[in-house]
Amino acid sequence: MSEFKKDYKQSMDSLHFSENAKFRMTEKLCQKSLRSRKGNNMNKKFVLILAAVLIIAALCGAAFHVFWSNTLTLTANTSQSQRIAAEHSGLSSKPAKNAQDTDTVSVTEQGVTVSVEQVIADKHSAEVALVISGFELADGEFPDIYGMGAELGGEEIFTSLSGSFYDGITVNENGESVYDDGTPVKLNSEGCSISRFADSDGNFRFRMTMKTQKDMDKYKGQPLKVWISNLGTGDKGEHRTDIEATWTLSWPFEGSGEIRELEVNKPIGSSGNTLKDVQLTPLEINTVVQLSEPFDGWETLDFLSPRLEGYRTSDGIIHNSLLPGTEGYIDKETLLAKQNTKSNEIIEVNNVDALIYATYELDETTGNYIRDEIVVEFN
Amino acid sequence: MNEMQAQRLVELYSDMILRIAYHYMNHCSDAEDICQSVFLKYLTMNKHFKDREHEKAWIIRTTINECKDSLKSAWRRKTVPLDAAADKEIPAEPQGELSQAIKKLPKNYRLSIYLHYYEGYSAREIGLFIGKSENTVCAYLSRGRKKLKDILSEGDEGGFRNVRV
Repeated sequence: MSEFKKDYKQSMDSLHFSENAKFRMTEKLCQKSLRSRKGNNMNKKFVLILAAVLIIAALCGAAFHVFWSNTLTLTANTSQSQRIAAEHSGLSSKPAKNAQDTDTVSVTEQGVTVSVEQVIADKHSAEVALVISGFELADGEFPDIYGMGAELGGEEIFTSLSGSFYDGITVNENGESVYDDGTPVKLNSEGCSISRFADSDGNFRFRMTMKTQKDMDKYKGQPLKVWISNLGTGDKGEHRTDIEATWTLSWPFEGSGEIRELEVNKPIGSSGNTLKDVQLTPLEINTVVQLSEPFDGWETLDFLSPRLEGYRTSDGIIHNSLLPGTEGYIDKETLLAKQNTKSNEIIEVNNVDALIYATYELDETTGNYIRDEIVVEFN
Repeated sequence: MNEMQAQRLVELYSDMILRIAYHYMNHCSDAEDICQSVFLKYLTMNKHFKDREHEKAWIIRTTINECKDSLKSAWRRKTVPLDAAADKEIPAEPQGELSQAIKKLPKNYRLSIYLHYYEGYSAREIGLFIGKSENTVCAYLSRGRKKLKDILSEGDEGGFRNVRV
């Protein structure tokens, strides 16, 4: 169990009612039960079964297609034909395939080799999958790096850069969480998934995600340079460097410049908000929305409602595959806002004919939330 | 409901209700009231549950709804009669760096973290409890972890940290 989970569990275990408080509550409950018109006529049968341990559906890549890195977000939800099309369009590239002498697609420092396995990139974002070999971790430890960076065409154009190690858990065609070898994910005593960071060859995989407002299409052919430094372990903010080194890779940038931009100007259901503009790339859907009234939820990191959750393609299929991204005001005075979302499947931009929004309302009688879908169509 | 059934209910769920209330409202002051309200609803609704997981899920949803109602009528909390106040116990809040850091997160993040890391629910199930989509809950968990990482490593001048939170 990670230090965080252990500490968190301990702190929650320490939060409890005293025996006196529980006794008091029990007494009151019995008294109310006696006074209740329904009385003791509650002959429920409670079948105590072992609670099924719940498996978390991951959004990591699938293990079953040879071509694509498990590390990438899209891999689990991409068909073979989509992958082939993606490699033709430049959305997906494998830098090692056509590497020249001037490219650095693999580098070894201190006995550890870092190589770039695959890149998925559109006009404004890129995912880079790295393979790390020659590094060892003890059981139960989490891999960690201390620093990372990226440049395109010699410029620091990325406004957002993040990275994470692939935990070896993916989703099979039945939507079940499995390891790369197809076996079901194992759970620890807390019911949490046990990660497998190293693959059967002892390699680790690291995914870097970067975003920019600039048009990356203009940088095609120029070097995309990434680096990671100081490999070790990490937990709860505490990094321990085991190998002090920097691994720098550089290769010509490829990416898909495909984009579709539309003026829509349609209401989003009865919310009062209007969908003004839509921008579609193979990886993202970005919208401009005219609000009817100010929204304070962003100050508490909440999301606008109705939520942009998916899109519809011209074959009538609804894809609820959009992941919340960033949203906020473009102009607070005029209540113009933007919602940026990322997709966990490739968007066929020319086949999208509607966006799918959703609201959630509480049903007082059942205590359940009812999801209401709103379809905003465009040509 | 006999004493044994009441005791069972309190033993099984009172601490969980307390923890949910604490995460929702960031304090423990009204936890016992919320507990009583949830159990009263349980008593009066005469609901039949398929199994214990179904029952537990109902308790969680009802607790969250009670917390919402409690926040809406804050004036009511401030006017507890003196004798009732004397009966009330406010459980001690968890101390420590991690607990203080979690308190700084927005409530949906706190709740999602609790329901996922302590109770073991999936993002989809948490979404049903709080009325959000699975993807939104995933975002809460991932952003919550990132914010916790930032809060806990505040002041560190180092570069990116892939902290396993």
